Amino acid sequence: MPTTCGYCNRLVPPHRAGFPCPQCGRTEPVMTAEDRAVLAEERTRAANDLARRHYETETGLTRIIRLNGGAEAEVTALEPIKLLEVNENTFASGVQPLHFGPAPASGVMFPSVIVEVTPDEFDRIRSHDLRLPRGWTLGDEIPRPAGVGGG
Amino acid sequence: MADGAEWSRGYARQASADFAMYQMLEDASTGEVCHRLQFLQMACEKLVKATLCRADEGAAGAVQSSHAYVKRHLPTILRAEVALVNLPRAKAREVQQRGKHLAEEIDVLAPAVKRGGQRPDNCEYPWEDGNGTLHVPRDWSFIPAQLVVLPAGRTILRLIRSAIDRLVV
Repeated sequence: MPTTCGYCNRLVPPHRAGFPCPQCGRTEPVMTAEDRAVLAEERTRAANDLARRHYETETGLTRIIRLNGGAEAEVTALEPIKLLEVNENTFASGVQPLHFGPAPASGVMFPSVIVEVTPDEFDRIRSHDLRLPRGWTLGDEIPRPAGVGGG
Repeated sequence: MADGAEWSRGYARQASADFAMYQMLEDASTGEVCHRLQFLQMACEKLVKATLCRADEGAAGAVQSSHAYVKRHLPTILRAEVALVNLPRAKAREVQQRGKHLAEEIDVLAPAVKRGGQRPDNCEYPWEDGNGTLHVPRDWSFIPAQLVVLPAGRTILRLIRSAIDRLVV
């Protein structure tokens, strides 16, 4: 079973388990494919929870879409959960990501990045007229949960 | 050369000092209202810049020259902070709504932000209104001073403090 560094996600020989990663030198535990699947699931759960809380607070949010930083990045614990939030109650200012650290005491285990845009800016992102940073791509939409109405 | 994380922490640490000064003046009810609010405005501006720099290496250069970030980004920061505390939904929405209003008003406290000449009122310099009357910041009744004493306003101040603290660590 392939093992990877829990920090940089590069492949690590199985006999290096428990030792610093030969690539990045970090000592996070090496991860098996199973570990990575569990982490991906946790990140999805955390993203959904964060999106729900944001929908509950801001009535102008019409859509929340996960942003992907690439398959490798998305299964590391330090990669932020990235949400593109389409808000009809804001004004256009381009793509300006905001970073938030994890808050374990509040149940938020991962850092997050929020990119808030207007519906018009969202259309421009979809038509590639407006670019997302660092090669991020649009991922799955997290719909507004039932019972969390807007307006 | 400093990276985005270092800039972020630098802005956050200075925001922390500005906010502490704002709170100290408020708690002691000392100094002019314009001066207290100037520290609140500076703290919020640096909080926003810290949050931007942390997310984007390239932001450090872009944010240095501009003031008008608070109106655009403080509500998003408040939303992220509200998500960390268990406020009832109605209260969370009230905080978000009031937060937007407060962010707009904090933004115009900076003399550089005039909203196309519509809002010359600011914390630092005298200005002349459309009738030719001169106003001085120390005599002016600023809207944020009224907003922050509302229950939601006090919650917003705690969320701002919390957002700064999380970036300083």
